[in-house]
Amino acid sequence: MSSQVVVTGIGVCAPPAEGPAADGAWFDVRTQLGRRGYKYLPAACQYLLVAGRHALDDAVDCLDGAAEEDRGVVVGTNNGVAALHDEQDRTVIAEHANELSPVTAPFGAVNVLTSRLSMEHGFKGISLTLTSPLVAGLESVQVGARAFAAGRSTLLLAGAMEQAVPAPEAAAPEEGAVVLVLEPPEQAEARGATGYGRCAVRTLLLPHGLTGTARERAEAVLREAALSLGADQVPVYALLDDSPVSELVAGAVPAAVGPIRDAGPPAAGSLTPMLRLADRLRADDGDSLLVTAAGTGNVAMVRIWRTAGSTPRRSAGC
Amino acid sequence: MTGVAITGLGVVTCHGSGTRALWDAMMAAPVTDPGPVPDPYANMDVPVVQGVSDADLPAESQALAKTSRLALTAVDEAIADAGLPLGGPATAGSRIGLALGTCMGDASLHEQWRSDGGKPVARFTSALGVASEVAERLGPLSVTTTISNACAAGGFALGAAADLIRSGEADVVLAVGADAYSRVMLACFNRMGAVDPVRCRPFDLHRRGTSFGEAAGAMVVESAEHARARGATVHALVEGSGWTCDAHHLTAPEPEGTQIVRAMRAALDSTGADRDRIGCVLPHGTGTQLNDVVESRALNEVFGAEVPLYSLKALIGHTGGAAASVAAVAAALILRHGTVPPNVPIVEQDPECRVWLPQGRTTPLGFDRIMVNGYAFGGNNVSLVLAGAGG
Repeated sequence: MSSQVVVTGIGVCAPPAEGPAADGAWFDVRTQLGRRGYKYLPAACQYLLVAGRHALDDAVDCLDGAAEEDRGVVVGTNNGVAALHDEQDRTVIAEHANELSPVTAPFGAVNVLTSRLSMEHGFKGISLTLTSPLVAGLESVQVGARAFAAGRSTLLLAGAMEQAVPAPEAAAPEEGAVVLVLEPPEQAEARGATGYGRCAVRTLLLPHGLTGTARERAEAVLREAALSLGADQVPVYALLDDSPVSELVAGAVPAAVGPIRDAGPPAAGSLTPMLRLADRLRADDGDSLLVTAAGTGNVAMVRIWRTAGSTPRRSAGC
Repeated sequence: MTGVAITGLGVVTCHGSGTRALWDAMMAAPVTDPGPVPDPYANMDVPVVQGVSDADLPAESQALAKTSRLALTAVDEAIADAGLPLGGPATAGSRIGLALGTCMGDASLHEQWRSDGGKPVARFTSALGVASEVAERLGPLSVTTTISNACAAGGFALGAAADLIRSGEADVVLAVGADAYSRVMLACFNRMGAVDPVRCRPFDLHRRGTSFGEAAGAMVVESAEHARARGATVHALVEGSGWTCDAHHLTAPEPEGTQIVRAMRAALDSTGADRDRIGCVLPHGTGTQLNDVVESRALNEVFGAEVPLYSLKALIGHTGGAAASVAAVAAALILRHGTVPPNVPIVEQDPECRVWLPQGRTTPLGFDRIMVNGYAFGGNNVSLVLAGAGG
């Protein structure tokens, strides 16, 4: 039902957990990426490029067996260009489109940020940008598994990138990027790479205001998805908000191995669930199911089978 | 390999709502100029769009932002055309999926906040939540994806929908592409000098860029077995798709077209069909200078210059993330009728674009396979092959 992928590299570019609120001050583009060619990229793209470098370094020889046409990129984002669009739109309203910066005009389309990562490494396979609220990052892993199964790719960078939203008082801001190197299990095994572990992801979408039989049907869909990923076999960690959808998810997902464990609240975008996935992949007790849901109706579940004895290599943050 | 059937079609463009309206417009081939955007804050040199009239959208969706309204209009038609409704007896126990393609989503929500001089007071929501509105029609979805690969998003969504059927992750998938006017996007294209002040004129020597339109296309996609079991009419088959990336430039296509050729060949390879048996191509053809030349050369390399093209954007404008979805719906209609409609006349074909654009008359569809191309900023390329219901 849900194909598994092996995670052979992790790259994280995010502010320190104990640091100040997201405002970009923690990141220096010249130090992280170099003096030329990166300064005018949207911040989310800069974070993505750094995380991509870390992930490829971390996965060591992962490029050896994959031709450039078989290497792909799948990235989730919700607010990767929200701040840029806000700035551009205010310029148009107050002045004129001719006052827009020519170097940022191409980023009207968010997929250009993802494509910049494809360009950076010459990846000519698939390049997809996903934008489902909250779950787009985890969805990138699911889409990656599907791409392997369909023969569209043999090596993927899958990730999430976000930049603080222009209305921080109305949403918990998040900044940074996570990139995972994904490989099909048989390919990783062939090159002797055990990686951090295997993942399989389900994404679901529920309508609002469910009652009666519609609610029962939604509960059945949630339960089927959770059980298909082994929710009754491993600890369940959850990032849930205060929405009715999250309440429904919390009640429907079977948690046979102890109560559902709180993995913190989700924020404004798709980054936090991917940071938690990276955490689980690096944790000694990593075998688990991670569940997240939001008031939009979006739900994602990721099962993690951690490789016994694997230890974090260079998958450090910025 | 699992056969992937299209059993429901829905569409809305500047020519009205419904497949009948689209087909009538395709056959009439009117030269349609874009109109001024209904936006007093559109401070830009060419503030025009081929918009969808409010009268063509259901009044009950009026509270929603326009991309969602467009999507729901197309989805409602597709569901009815497929003989569903979802959640009814015909699909009881079926796993329903959604693959949505949109570039800007409901960007107009955020743009309205800013026009009003403020920010969201309660909760900041992504502009890209169109799928949530569609889910209200479909019930709980077992799998969902929203792809925002700019002007090719709808093509990737249809390819993803077919993959979901083939992988067995879903029994029925709604493949949807939708985009409405966005002030930010139109301003960015203006700033790049990429908006034609006349209209969208693909392959015309005098073209000066693209010109946007609003639209949505929706298709109900299911396995041929599932369709047969419930007695559904099959409009077309999704035989294959090829996905590549230029990895070359943020906005310009790679001049040799290597990766768009590879996308076309990958789509053909996945069908097992001979390239000589493609009856028509719906090109990406945006009207931008280099794109049309590169795509023409790529088409020549794969097919020669003898395959008829149906250049849809000349009729409805460049509809962004909806473009390839609407093109796929148009392809299904061409397959149904066995006829390639006349292209909207162009003044003078660019000699660098050596493609066959039949004008002034219909052309019989020689083979019941059609290719649809979709390309996007960032060099994201998708090609799809649709076949007649006979396969």
